[in-house]
Amino acid sequence: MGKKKTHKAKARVPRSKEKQVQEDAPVSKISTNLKLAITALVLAGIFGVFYFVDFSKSDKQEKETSLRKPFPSMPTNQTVHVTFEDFVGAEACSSCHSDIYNKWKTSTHGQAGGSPKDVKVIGYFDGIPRKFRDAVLTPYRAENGDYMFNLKTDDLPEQTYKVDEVVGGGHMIGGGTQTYFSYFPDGTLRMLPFDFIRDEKVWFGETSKGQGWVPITPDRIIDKESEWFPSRLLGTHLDRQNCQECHGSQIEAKFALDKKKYVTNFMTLAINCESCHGPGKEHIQIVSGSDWKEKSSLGLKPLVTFDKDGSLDVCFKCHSLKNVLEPGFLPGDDLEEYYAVKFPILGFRKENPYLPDGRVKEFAYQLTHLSSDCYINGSMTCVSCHDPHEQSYRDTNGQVLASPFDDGQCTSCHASKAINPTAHSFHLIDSKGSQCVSCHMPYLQNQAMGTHLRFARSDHTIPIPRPAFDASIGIESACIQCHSDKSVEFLQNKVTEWYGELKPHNDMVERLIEFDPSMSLFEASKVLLPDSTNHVIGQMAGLSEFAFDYLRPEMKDIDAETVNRIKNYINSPDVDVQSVAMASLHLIQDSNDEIHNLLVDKLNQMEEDRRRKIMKRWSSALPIMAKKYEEKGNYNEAIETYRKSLEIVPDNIGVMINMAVAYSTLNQNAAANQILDRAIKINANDYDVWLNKGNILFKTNQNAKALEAYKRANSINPWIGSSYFNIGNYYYKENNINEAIVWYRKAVEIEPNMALGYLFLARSYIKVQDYKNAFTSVKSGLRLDPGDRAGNQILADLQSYFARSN
Amino acid sequence: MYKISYNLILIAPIIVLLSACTGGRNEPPIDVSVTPFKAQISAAESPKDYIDQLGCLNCHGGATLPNELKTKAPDLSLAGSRFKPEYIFNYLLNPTQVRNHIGLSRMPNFGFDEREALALTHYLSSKRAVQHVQFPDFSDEGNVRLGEKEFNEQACSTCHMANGRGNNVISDLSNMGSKLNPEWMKQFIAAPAAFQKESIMPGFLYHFNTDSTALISSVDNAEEKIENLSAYLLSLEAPDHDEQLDKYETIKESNPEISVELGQIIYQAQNCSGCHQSNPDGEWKEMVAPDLMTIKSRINKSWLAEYVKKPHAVRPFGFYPGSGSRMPNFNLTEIEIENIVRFIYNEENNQKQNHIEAPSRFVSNKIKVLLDEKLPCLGCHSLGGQGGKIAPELANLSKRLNSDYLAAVVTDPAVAMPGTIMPKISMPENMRDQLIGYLLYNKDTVAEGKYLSLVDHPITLQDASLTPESIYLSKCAICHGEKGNANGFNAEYLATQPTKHADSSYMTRRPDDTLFDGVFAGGDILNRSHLMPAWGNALSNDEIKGLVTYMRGLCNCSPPKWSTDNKKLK
Repeated sequence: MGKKKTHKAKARVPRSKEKQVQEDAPVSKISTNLKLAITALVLAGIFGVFYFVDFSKSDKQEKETSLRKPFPSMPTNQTVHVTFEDFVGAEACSSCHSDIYNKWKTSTHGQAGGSPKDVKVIGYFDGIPRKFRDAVLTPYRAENGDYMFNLKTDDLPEQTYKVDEVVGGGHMIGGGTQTYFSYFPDGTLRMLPFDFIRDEKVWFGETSKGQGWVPITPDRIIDKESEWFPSRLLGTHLDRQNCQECHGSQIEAKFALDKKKYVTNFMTLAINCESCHGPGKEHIQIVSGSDWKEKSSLGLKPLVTFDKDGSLDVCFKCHSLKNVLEPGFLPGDDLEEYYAVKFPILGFRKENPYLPDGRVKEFAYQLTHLSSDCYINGSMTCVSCHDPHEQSYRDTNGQVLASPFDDGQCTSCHASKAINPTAHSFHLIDSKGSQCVSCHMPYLQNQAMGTHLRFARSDHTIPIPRPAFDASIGIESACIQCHSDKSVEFLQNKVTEWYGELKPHNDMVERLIEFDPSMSLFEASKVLLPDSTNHVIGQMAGLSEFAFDYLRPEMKDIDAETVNRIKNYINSPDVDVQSVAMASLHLIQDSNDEIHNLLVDKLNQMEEDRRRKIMKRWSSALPIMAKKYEEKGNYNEAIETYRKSLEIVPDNIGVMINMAVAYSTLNQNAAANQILDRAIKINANDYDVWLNKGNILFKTNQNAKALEAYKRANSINPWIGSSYFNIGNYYYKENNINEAIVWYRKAVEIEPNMALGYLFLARSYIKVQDYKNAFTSVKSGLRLDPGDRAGNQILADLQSYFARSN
Repeated sequence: MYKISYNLILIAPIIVLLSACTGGRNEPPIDVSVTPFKAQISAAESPKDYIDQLGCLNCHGGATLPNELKTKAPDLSLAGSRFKPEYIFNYLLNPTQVRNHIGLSRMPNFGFDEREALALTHYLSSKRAVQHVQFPDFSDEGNVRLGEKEFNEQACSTCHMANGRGNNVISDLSNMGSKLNPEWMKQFIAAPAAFQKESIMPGFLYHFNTDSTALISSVDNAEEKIENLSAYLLSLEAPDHDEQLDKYETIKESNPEISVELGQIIYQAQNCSGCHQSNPDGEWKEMVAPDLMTIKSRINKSWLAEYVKKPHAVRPFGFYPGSGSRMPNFNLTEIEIENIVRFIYNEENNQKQNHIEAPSRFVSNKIKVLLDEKLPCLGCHSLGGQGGKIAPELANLSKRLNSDYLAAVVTDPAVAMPGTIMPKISMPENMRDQLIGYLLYNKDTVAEGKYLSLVDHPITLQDASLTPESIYLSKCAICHGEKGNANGFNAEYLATQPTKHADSSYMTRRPDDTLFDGVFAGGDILNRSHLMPAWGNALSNDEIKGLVTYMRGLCNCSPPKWSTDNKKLK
């Protein structure tokens, strides 16, 4: 399965959560940098029903003149809102649509996952131990037939996990894998970091240290880098690494305040009818009536009528990298309300998951299709070639094709190339080299998966092989896939000999290639922000490149031509481009009344749905920029940028937390406190707010109040390790070491991969002279974070102590 | 009505007539062996007679027959010499019965508007006699009273009526002063055969010399008699002559751009020469209407009966798109309609059809969206009046069409309608079935088709050859324009302007392969209009290649260099 398994460079981290407070470490010289930023994958957007707090006024001290119009508030009601109860499951469809049901049942989607009883388990649960350097993993079958993992480590109690759900069936041609999920005590369904790959027939896991997927071998250690402890959760969780809603059907995951547990609901981990068609309950009700033939709506939209982008969105809800705008998406909801598919581009060039020509740099799904000429200058959608029900192949007229390699996919449009295929391909007819997809949709290894195991997906940018250019951007050209013995020069010469001048890249791609970060702002804006382009995802890349490399809050002296180029983009029909352009203008020149009012007018002219989508994106693009200012140490700019974000969506708690942390970093703790108090007014049950509030109080030595805040967080959600850890820190500071040990132990029990928890625990044990436990703890901590200097010092101290006492 | 038996009434007077004119003279009898009035043209006896006498097959083809209508309809090859233009003009706008001896045949109403009628008038008026016969000098002014006497006492009144007297067997001459040019009238009376090869009117007063170059009088004072007769007949004017003249003059003056050539092409497009003698420049030999023999398998009987009673534009600009041909209104009587329908349906009352179920409303809505946004159908067809004007209206087709036939057309037009330009559109089977159901039973109002103005839209007469040019003209030009300027007659009914093949700045950016693919697979695949259909099922690769070359000629431009760099395999 093409699950997104990649290191954190992929993950956008707008919601900063400084859950561990910096400890002044009086006793041991433990870690100099104790900040442990728990990564949240997504920007929090608790857009909801909470009362409106007008930040712009209070923050800006009424400095607006009467000429300045206020930003409109974000419309709250979504046109469509689907709930979990609206779904009926695939079996309910089978009685009327049996032919389609039967096709689906044996399709890749139909077999994409499910309970181990229902799907074919391809992993070897053979009871044979697989050795890590510091652990042994044994996949086995229990007596009752359950699929189990047993994990023994040097320092932790033996653990067993039952496979409750399976994702993937090893279907994919370019490398098929299967992944196993298990329920955890907090109610989450978590991915176990032991996967099986079909072709290589090995157990493997991810290591994020630039190696991607690596088989389990005795030279690997099991640690956080190999996704240990299991931390990826099914569903969209704002506070955890997560699988969104893609690896299953109608996944709903949330934290239930009343139960103090996570609730994970889904219909199946296969991809079922309602994943694409939306909820079927209303449909069933309508067609059960005798007069259904007279009804103009049958409760489901006919997907065949969707326009090009609408049709793509049906697939992009899973087959794309995307940023979460708001959790809670269910099939049938408007994807653009919950996700921004072009937002993963935002950031510096190195963070853009796509190369300048739209191909995959590290890891991506088939959103790359948006860079194909077949999309840009044609009408191609996923279903032009893929039968959505049985995932077989077909041509653009819906005629069934034999295989994924059938030329009919291409030649039903490119009929000119079918007249004399050899004249175009220069390869023998019926040879692999003469197949359209061999050259134009080669299987390329996703670089984030490394080189140990094959995870190649066919290139959906449908490029022209350009051996020299491809090599220059780090891609193996299609030619090399077969002619691996030939040099790039040889292949390039051959291509030139055969085809002469090649079709040029799209103008927007040329611009992205041409761009050089050493360009002046003015030069860069000319290159990156063309007046018009038909390459929208490239336009987004250009805009992102420009915004992140060159823009800062309130740039008074920016030239008018550049401002006009950005202004031009606020009329883009693309929701992502438009919102980032508006956010950029807001960032650089909101103090200019004319620009401010232009933005306000633009928002006011929009239909409500559009305005809401734009404002969600706008308010989440700004914090991504703010994060970059923080990375460069420009906290004041970051704070200004967060403030602007809150002007657009004032009740975004995630942004408030980020802003408070930035204030706190500048030691402006009162301001930080004030913001968090406002966040609490919006939602007193957000445990992140309480944790961060505790941190600021702790930092300013209001220890008792800090403890209160931590305990509040802990009582709301008792499954967050850092709240235990922070309480431990409180007791440590209060010199109640035994109590601190109790809390640190709870912290690592809940988050067994919290290296810092073990190291602080070791430090505490040393303080109470329990060196044996200190030794075990420091070993655990160093297993997870072998490089920690203070931890190694403790270990050395302990070892020399033991040596002396022996 | 028409059921009077002509052979009884007519044959006898002709005999009388001949004896009256030749009696008592020794000169050789006048050669009246111009085609005699055909005795077999009698009241219709079988359904086939109706079809034959009305001349349906002149346009509809489907059978060969000796073209008897040309003996009945006026010879128009010299119409300009013969008729006053205001008469032609007003007659075209409102044809009436003139001749009583031509069985069921009649001049039908083509629904011409004034400008169309003017164009035809110009053309017909340009058809003037180049006389090879030496006529006597008829320039003396005749005596009306003597002429009247001549008319009533001589053979004329045996067949003609004038001013209320005589026998209206052939025609009433009471409006001749408004209708005919004086010169022509005199010469015609002198020698009808010089003007109309198959005229049944004998030359009573003159006969030809041996080499047919001059006239020899057959009676005394022939010259004077003709002058008197014509003076009398020309004195008889239609009561509304001035009004009609005014109308003609007004329209003529306000439309100076309407040319003889336009009239000629309208004349050809309506296949006027199917019934009328005319010069070669007025001929057009292609079939201009559907084959009658196949109608029973296509069209519902009840619809057809309504249609022939009051025809409307099924194809608003010609049976062949752009040809401008029209189904005229024959003002048929009930009995005629009954017999026509009986002929076409061959006495079979029940057309067997497979039952195709009406789609649910949901499916109907879905198909409507597909028609509006994805399928090419409404580029040519209209639905509820909206859409292209090339092909028939699609609203509620179960009224008009046999459902099996419709299914066959949608499945493969070339098989169901040999010769059609409609290309086969490939689509998934279930979509096709739903489309057929929708077309049969949609609730859209059938818009009464209106013909497009033959003046405002250029008519393209078809050419059966398969040269790139003729393919372009017959299939592409209707939208893209004859010269590739996106101004074909159908272009204005499309939401998106068709590609201008003459636009070199655009065309020079398009590789030849892209042009080929667009023709082959349709506009949608190029992210252009879905109304441009895929021709890949209807044209061969070579034909499409020919079109690409032809388009390059229209823009007079080259494709991008990179697209032509491909070396050919050695």
